[in-house]
Amino acid sequence: MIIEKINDYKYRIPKSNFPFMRVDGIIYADENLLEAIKNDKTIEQITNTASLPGIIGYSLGMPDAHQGYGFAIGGVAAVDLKEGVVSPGGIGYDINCGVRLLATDLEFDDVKNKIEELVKQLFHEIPSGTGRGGDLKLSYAELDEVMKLGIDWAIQNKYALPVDKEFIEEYGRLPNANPDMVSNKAKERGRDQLGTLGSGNHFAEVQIVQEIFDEEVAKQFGLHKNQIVVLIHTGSRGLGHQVCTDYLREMDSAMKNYNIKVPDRELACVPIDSKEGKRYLQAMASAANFAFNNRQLITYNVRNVFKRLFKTDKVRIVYDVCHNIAKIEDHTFNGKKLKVLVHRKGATRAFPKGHPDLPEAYRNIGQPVIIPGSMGTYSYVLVGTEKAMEETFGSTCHGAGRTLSRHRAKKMMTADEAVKKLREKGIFIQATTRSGITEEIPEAYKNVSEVVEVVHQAGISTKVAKLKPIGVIKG
Amino acid sequence: MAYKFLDHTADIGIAIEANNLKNAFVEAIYALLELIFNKSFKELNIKGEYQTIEIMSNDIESLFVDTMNDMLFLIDSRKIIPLKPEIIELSNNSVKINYIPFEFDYDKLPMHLYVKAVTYHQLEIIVGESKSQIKFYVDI
Repeated sequence: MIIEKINDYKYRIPKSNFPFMRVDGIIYADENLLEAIKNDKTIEQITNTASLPGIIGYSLGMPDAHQGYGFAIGGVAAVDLKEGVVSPGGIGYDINCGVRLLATDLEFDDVKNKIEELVKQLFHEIPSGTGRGGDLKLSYAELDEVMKLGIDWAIQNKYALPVDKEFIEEYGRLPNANPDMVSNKAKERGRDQLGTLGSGNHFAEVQIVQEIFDEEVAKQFGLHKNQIVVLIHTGSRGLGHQVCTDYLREMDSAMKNYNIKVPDRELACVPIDSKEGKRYLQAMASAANFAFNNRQLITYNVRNVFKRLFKTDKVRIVYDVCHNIAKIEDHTFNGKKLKVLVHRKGATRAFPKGHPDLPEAYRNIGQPVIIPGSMGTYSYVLVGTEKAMEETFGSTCHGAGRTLSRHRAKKMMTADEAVKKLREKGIFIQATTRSGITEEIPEAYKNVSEVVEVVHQAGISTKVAKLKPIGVIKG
Repeated sequence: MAYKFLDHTADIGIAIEANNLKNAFVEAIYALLELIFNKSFKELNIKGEYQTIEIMSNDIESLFVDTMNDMLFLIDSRKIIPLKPEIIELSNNSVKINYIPFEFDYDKLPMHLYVKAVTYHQLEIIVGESKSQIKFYVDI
């Protein structure tokens, strides 16, 4: 396969490689990350995505890209609203998996003698682990309200402050949500999971702002050196997984009605304007609203713990970003203004200053982009740029990306050794299972700092702050 | 009849070998259970009333994926382990499965691994005269 180097941080896969490619593939990576990307089926998946009807510009791969299902994780594809398709595989099984950053009024000195207690209490308050339900048992009518109203449901039920809404992507509510398009199976699967962290790479971390790269922007985001912040990484849990499963099944059957053929069944798709496409987007929006509320209920518990332990009620949302989502957005391509459906799977929106979708507080600065590291490694806050609008449909990376299988990670060290290593770095961890620790060791992931450096150098988002964990809560 | 787990960067694969396709489906259910609970349910001697589930789909690949996702739904949503699965009928687009539903208590039998979905990714179903093989990957 021909891959051309455009510059030190950008590579092109020309569409001439395969007759089915409608557009070129573009990968943002340095030489080292590109080699890692070549190790699995990521490039094949980026080229397959380039075959989608209505795709505009490029099939994009971010520096943290790795093999997913249908789309690569770390993939972005914008499709024309009239001619294009929607593919559940372009969003993934964890609809609106995302990250939320909370900033406190505390500094490291305020918490250093209580870190262990803080982590224990957070672990106790935030239900986590494989298949574990939460404390909140919703009726089906209440669940429909959660999905329909998004964060407004949490505000009405006192789990959120009215101001929280300002600092969540899409103001915490995708307006086209229609819970009637979500199957009973999906509702049953997600009904007792609201407010739960889940397992795998999901986590909550207490962190310190260790380094500031852009003083002015950091100040506007309310971040300063030595500040204590909390990062929450989770999504729509079983409800979102089932929505994806249900609609992949439906689209797999429906594709033939629209004469669509795809190189991989996980790329099953239908026209956006078809009845199946409209239904999926309404169900996806419902699951996304569930995920906003999931992160909100965890926020509620975090606030309670900080109030109890440190007598502070100043725990505010810096921003909440989705990294598995599809949204209708306005973009300009080749000088032409277009309305497109942007699929972001393992990719983060990165809108620049002046964008009308940003909250007033950030409109003159740009959107906070929150990039979680792997367990016990740095996380980053970046800011969206105009270059992202020009090159990537306003998108950037989403995290580190695995390089080792869970099996190989477990062979590298025991849970005790992993805990000891983290303690030596000043990080206290609480996890539901020992395998939850060994499978997620930092050695199993790409270096998040290298991933962030690529997007910074490529200019599709720029560094604002580096966060160092001191406490980890894992499923 | 046997199954083995396959290494994958982000997820996990399962390779099944059985003397026919019906038994390969059964092995796949046992493999999924072992993946989730980190223990084998194959030799479990349990008695109870059987329930029947019927699944219909477009072709053998989608039938397999749909069947496994329906098993996953039972486990994740209803906290039911489908024990002693038997394939009563199997064609290219429908399957009838008998199983003993065992309701599990999370605190006594915690899940070891959370499986989001069974996928089409690199799915292979090979039916031979004396051997059937299935290879599939799950999203975790």
